[in-house]
Amino acid sequence: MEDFICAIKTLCADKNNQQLSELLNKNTDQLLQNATNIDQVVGALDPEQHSLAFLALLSLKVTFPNPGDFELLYMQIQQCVNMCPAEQIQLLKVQLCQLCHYLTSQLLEKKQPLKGIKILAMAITKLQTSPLQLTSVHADLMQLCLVAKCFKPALPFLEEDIAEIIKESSQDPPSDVRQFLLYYYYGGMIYTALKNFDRALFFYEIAITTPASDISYIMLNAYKKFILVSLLEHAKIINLPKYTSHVVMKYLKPLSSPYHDLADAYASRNPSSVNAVVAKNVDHFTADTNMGLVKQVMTSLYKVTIKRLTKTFLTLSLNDMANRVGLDNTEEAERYVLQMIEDGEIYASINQKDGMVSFHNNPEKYNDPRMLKRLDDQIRAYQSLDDKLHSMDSMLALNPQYIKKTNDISGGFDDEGLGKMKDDGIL
Amino acid sequence: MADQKYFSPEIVAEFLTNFEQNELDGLATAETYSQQLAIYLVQNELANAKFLWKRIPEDVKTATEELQKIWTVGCKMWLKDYTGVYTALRQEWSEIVKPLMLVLEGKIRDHLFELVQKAYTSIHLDKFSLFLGMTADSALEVARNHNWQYDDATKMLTPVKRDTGARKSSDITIKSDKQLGILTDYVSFLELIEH
Repeated sequence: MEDFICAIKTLCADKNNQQLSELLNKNTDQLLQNATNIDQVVGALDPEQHSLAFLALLSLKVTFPNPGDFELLYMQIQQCVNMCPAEQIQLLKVQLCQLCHYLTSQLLEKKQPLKGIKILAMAITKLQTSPLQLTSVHADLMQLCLVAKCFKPALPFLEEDIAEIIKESSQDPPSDVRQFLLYYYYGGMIYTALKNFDRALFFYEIAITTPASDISYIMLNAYKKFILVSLLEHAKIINLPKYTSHVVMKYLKPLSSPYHDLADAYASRNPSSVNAVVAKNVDHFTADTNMGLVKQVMTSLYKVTIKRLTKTFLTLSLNDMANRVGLDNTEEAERYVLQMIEDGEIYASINQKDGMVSFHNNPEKYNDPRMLKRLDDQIRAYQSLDDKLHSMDSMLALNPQYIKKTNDISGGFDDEGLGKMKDDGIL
Repeated sequence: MADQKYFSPEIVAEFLTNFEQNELDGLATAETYSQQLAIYLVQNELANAKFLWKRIPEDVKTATEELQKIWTVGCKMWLKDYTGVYTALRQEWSEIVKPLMLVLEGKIRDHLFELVQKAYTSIHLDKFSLFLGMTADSALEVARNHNWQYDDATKMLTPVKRDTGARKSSDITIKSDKQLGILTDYVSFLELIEH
């Protein structure tokens, strides 16, 4: 045992990774067959200096059916993630991800999701070489944040627009796809909880439109939530982009018929028919744990109707409004109008003396520096998007597989990808 | 923590970061939960407040009456129960949350005053005093200070609209040379696309 620890230390000091990995693999059968031995070796190592061995041994330990005391293991993983330098972690991505997945499942089982958030956030930043990269640990972090109901630590990661997926291993693509879908599904749920519906729709949309030859349960659930959030944000189901897989659309719709019924009833703007659909499908919505969203959809109907009234009328009595919208009394109507003015959803003023509401146009004149700044921010965002698209395009044009395929099809080398499409006026 | 310190938003934000980090490290106590919850309310981060309330362990909630009371205020804010919020705020607060709750009450009152100003062309004095959480007499005084007209016979107030446009534009200023720089950027970007 002593010799083994010594050997690891010298090899780490020499940065002889080849021999180190041989040594560890050779010993898997004899010395390292139980968790106590590993604890002894790990205890003698310094995570900063012997990080490769430290990480490799821990990832071996979590594969055991009985990895020993969880508190000790938790501390070891924490030490590993916090102290191992990022360059070393980059060499053993698979192992680190394994540790993170294991930690996540254990903490969920022990109902202590809060304890893993900091570790996973640190692990992600060490795995990444740029914040635009997606790792398989992202989904774990989102899941912990959701279960812990603590969303703030997730936001810095969710706000980055992912442009690249880190390849951890070549052997196991299915789990990558699962983590990818889960990341966007969980991310959508976090944004939904925080009522950032626009961004939530974007996340659900990515989950639904992921190229697929068969649908997954994650996609189906994302689609159901997509419908509800779409009703809340746009008062109708917004169209999915044309590149959505045919299979997906073919199977998703019939599987989520209660949601489509709800959307149809919603389109009629009649509160009682919406209530009828909800009453009929209440078990279905509850089983999908979407009842909270459904209730929000129900109350939003009043606001949508009030919004439509602002387009028809210049002034309206509160009494008349209550009747048209289907509210109980004028106080209720006044309350809704006031709330909508507060949230900036309508521009109106209430006259209590006459019991009237007057509707106004948007007072924004689009002529102040604030608006200019917003415009500038948007333009810059699109500029950087264009840059990103160009660099991805040139990377694709240099991809040997792509060149081979286009050569096969056209027999020549006249397709230059996106650049060509732009010349043709397709873009 | 001196009372005065709480009035600076930066310091409040700094405290909040500490509380949030403590919580992730598993070091949160009933006191830190109370302050964290109160700060979310002061910042009007109601969603964060709601989920913090949901994740505070049950035993802490039942043992700390004050946490419950702070959340009652949060509930009223969440439900936009503009008049009930003042009743919820009038409690004997402990020293650690008292300054925060005072700031919160002031913020809510300012916000509701602005809302009334924006949303009403005429409002009954009784209703207005509910919005401000004051007696009718003191509410009337506030209105008079803002030059609002008051009709004794109908008890109706006529709020004076404020020119919001003028206030907004003073917030951000862009110098003309910078603006020229921005335009140059746009043009050179468009040139690049052309080729």
